[in-house]
Amino acid sequence: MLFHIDRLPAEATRLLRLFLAGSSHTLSNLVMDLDYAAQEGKPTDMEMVLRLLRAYSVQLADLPLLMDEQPLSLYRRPLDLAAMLRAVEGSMRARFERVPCALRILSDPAWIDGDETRLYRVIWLCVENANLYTTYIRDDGEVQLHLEVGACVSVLIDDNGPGVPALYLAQLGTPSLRLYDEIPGSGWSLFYARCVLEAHGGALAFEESPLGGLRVRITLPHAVASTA
Amino acid sequence: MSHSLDANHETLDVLRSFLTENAHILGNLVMEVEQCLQESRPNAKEQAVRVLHAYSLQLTDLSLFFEGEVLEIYPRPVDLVIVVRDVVRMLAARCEEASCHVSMPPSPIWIRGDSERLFRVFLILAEMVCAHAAYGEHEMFIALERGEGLRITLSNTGPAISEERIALLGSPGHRLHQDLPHEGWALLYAQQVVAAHHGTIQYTQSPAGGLHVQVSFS
Repeated sequence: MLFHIDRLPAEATRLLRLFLAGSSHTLSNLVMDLDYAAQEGKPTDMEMVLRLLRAYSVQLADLPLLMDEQPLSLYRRPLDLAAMLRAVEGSMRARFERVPCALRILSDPAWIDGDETRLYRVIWLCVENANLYTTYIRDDGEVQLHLEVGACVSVLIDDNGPGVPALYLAQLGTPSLRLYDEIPGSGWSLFYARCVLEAHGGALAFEESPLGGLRVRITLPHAVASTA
Repeated sequence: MSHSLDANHETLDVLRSFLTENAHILGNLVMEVEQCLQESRPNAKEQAVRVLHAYSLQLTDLSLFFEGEVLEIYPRPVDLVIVVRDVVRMLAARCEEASCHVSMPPSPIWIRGDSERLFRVFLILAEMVCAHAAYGEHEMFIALERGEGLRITLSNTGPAISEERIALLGSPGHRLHQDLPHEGWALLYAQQVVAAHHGTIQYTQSPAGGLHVQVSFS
């Protein structure tokens, strides 16, 4: 199907604009991280860059399927969520030099059955969101990542950013939702995160953080082998 | 829980086409970065970052386009020979199935422009011509020449393509063949960048039977 650029539906233009704002911000931040590492004389971790790009590419390919409510074909294998959380934190270290990030892992390893590329992307997106909102609003930003194991495996991502009014908490994860005009990004990333987690039998939830901002709660079922 | 977007079919079609095309672009970008690193080329990391940066610029520019803003470039002297050579290097990973013949003058050809955006545009055009040529195991040609103005031509020897289909190039959602990736959104971007450089892009049938793309700067 072909489209005339001057006659796109207004809603399509709006959603594309939101998507592009978030995507270009994500990629330019990645470039900035790499430039920053180069300026500091630190080695460039191209494996990390490739991992991020692959995961992003998978996200873009998944989104049309999700929009049509088609199921994702997950490539599940046993994954240690503690290791994944460390990898995500490590990949954003340059940014966390500006916003301190405390990582607390209470169960190590924490095994789940999951699609590594997609879950890495989901956790990365949630952590990036926390970093982004915190950085934009305050100079003394703080992010906390917390992993605990109970009836399920939970990752909590807390920030002391602006938070989200209770009225909008239930709407987070809707692609068309944008709460702060001055902050790049859109609801696309949380929409994707919610879909991927639910495809794993998990969930994405939002609540007020003890730090004053937003708490993102990711829950995933234990690996079958670890509960047997 | 339903994840459907509250949007009509046309809106969903627009989004679907954009996302599909860009998933492919990003997949190619990953391949290019991998190739850079595997070959242990000098400055491989810098090249990889450059490709990433150029794509990031494309997305930023498109977001401004949808805000209704006109693309502005900050011109600096750019040697087009170097830009096109860099594109050919990046394309090497995907040109294995389509022999690529390059003809460029030995000396620099300077224009005033934005090297990163021009790099991205020529990569978009070269990828399209290469994918089209490789689909039918044809050859492709890239030539840079100075006449009354500057001309960069990218062409292939096939597969054959109709004038009707050529006329649709640059329309979002378009692709040359159902087995080839979408290229409409990227060509729309290429058009904007070249226009911002006071240049034009023309798509025609190649005398050899395939696709002929000519970028001209006055």
